[in-house]
Amino acid sequence: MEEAKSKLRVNRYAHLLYWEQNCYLFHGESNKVYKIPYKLFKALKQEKIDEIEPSYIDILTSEQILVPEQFNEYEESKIKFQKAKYLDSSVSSYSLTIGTSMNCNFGCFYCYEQGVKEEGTIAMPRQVADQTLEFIKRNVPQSTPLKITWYGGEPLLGLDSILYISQSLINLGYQIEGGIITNGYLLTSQTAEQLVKEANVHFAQITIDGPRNIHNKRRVLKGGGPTYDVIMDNIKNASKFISNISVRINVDKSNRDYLYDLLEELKSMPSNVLPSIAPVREENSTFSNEERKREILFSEQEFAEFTKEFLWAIKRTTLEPFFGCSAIQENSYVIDADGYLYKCWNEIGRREQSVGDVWEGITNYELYKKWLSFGDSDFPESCQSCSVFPSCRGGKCPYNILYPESGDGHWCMPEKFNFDDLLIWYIEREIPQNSIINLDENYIYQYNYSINTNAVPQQCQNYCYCVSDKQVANSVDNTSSNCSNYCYCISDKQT
Amino acid sequence: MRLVRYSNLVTFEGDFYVFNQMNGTILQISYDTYKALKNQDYDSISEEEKSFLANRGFLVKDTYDEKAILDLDIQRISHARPSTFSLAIGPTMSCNFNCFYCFEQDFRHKTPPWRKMSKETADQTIKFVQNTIPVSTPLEIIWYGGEPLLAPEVIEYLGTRLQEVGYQFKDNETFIITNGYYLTEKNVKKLVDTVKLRRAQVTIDGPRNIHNRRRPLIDGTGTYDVIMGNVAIAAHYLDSIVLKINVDKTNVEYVPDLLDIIKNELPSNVFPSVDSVATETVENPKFSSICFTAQEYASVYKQYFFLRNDLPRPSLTCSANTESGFGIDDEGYLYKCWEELGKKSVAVGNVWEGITNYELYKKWLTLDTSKYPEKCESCSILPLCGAGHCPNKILFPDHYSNSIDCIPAKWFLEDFLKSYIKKHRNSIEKSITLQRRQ
Repeated sequence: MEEAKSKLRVNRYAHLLYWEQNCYLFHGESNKVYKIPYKLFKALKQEKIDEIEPSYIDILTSEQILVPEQFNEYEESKIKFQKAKYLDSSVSSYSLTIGTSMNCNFGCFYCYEQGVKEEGTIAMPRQVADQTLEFIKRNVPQSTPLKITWYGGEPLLGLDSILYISQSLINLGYQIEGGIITNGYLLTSQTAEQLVKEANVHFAQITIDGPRNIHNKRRVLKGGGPTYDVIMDNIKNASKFISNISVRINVDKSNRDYLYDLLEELKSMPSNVLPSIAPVREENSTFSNEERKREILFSEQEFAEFTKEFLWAIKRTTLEPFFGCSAIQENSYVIDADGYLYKCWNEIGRREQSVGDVWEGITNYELYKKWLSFGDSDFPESCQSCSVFPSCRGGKCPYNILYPESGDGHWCMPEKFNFDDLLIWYIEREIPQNSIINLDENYIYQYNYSINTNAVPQQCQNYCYCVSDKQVANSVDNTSSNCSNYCYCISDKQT
Repeated sequence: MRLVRYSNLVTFEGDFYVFNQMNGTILQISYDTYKALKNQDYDSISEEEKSFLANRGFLVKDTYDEKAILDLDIQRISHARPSTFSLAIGPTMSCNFNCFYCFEQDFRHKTPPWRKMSKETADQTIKFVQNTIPVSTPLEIIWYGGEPLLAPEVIEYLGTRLQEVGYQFKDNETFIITNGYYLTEKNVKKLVDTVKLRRAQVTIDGPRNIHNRRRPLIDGTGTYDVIMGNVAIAAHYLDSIVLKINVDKTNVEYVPDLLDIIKNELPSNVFPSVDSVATETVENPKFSSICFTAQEYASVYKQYFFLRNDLPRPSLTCSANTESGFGIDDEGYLYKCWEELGKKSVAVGNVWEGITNYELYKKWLTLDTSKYPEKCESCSILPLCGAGHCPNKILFPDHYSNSIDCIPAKWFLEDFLKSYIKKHRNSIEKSITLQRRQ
């Protein structure tokens, strides 16, 4: 036993935080937060495993906070990642991203669909929509919840197809839940109501890039023309129908100084309208002018530095383990307005990168396999020793790892660079306080008791009440009955 | 019009604040005002908002000279008829402890029988007070030493006599700085009844074994259990007890242990307060290696800022550089700075003759920001720091072996402000524009 103990070490994905006289441990792989006694905190921090109270060893090892010396958390984590691609999606839901238009009424300078959307199909033809329905019928069991994200181009140029496909699926008995990524220009009150009622849309992402004069310079109508006032008006009206609206703010060095101006404007929006911030990046070789690129695009470090102040405005739940996106999961496709299938949103409309079409299903198995087998050796070398790997997995974007030549390559998640701040935010504001596991003596006692019914509880008088009362989480039936008998026995003896 | 120098613009989770170091106030402002102040675009601020900000000292006229204003403040505080008079009295300069870092190493008595203030000196002290301080001026009395509770009867006698001859205590309370060993229920009860003792400062340097190594009795015996026992009981009789934790590199890692103990074992009116063991207080030069530099200490202090509930305040003066404060030792010598109690060579007088060393006394009253070290010239937190908040070091650099230390806020003011904002978000005053908006 002693020998085994000396061979333990602290898991690399276990993060320790001493904050306002409380000690926390966050496990990046299990996404659990523990409150721990300072003594334990110190021993873990200093990696002095032999100073940990023996009663804690069992739970710390079973939660993989302590692991054997030769344990390889990186490999383990990658195995979990591989499994999740298949298990998660096939069991729980099927997700489709459908571009009902591959054209766009906007002309944003940084769009990664440049070269695609200009000549793209304006609205998905009826026969493509019908064939898409056939494809779904063939591939998705009716009982599987179906998540559809309407995308494009600008999906509302193909509103008819959104409503037609949704209604048809509902009539066929599918349970669908919709979301839409739109520039918001055509999202009138009437359209929003239709989307909710006829396509069960719960979520919309609309991009605003700054206050009026900045946004109007960046996100113009095709051929020129302002869009700010129309979009802001639409958001306000649409928020009465659509339950969650995310205002996506694409930032680079040319609009960074106006972020607060926009956030101020957004304060007047209803509470179901929330901002989220993302960097403008080079994808699909959008920026042909190298000088302009250097001038306005953030580097990985610069963006990380910039976000420090905006943790409260960045997309939430950034610490949950990342199990991949639709691109690498089974039971997930991107479909363009001409019926071509893709794995990644970034590729929509670029037919040479499609994996098939709604008529024939998968035709390019090589490419399909490349996406599905993503993982393991694909991760950048720097991930191997990184302590935030479970949340980040090389920057939460397989595309950037698989196709580094099309843009500026993989970025680590920005919060990695101010991880303690993020952790404080996560623990204090983001996760429900009752989900924090309090590893105090009482908990340990109950835990050890529940896994080892032979253990004679030395302090039973103090604890028997709790044990029989609360029914320890891990206890199996015979344990709990033993326990209540035992307690009864003691309290009986006492009186 | 312009934003006052020594102010800070802070953003916190989408709200905007401005902090004024000149008067230690914070205000929540609108984004428009924030932007205008940041870009020095004062014309864009409404007249109403402008006058609101001006009334609170955030906007000042272009000719405003912050340093001159601070100097005038120092001068006024030094000389003006005081609203209270502060006396730090050492009823004994003996101490039963032997702490290695004590700055009274050279001039305190270390062996029993403990020397205490005689009745003659005590009576003369009363006369001196009567001759010096108008009876209508409330007294702010700090019982100090040495260890004052080695002579509780002197405290009782002096405190009672002062009240008998008509003096009131400021806020009707008295404060004692003690090592806590004799802060027994009996002593506390008596001092509460007779001299209106309401607050105490006691030092604990770590959990039991650490504290006992650092703060033993003269014979080396540990003191932890006695002190903790005393504090737990004394807290019931007093308004508050500050537990001072003196840290250096050798005990800093035990601070969280101690804080846990305090939280779990002591009443809630016992407040821990982290402080640094300053190099100059350590007699033996070999100790300088265990002391933190100012910047090192700042990053330690940052961890414990949450213990505080207050904003940083301007701190340019102390009782030493005013005409309204004296320290008095057990032989009746008068000092300007408490830290000098017992060090007769720097006494400014005695209770029999009053001030005898006028040169020295006068020099204490000449504090001015122009006497600050050069590094303070362009410092952005000068009013909060006041050149390390130690007039003694500024005026008498030859008394000290090391340089003036900057305060932690020099490195972490923004963190401190944010920590305050987070705690008090709902009670921070809003500018008029924001008030109108609601």
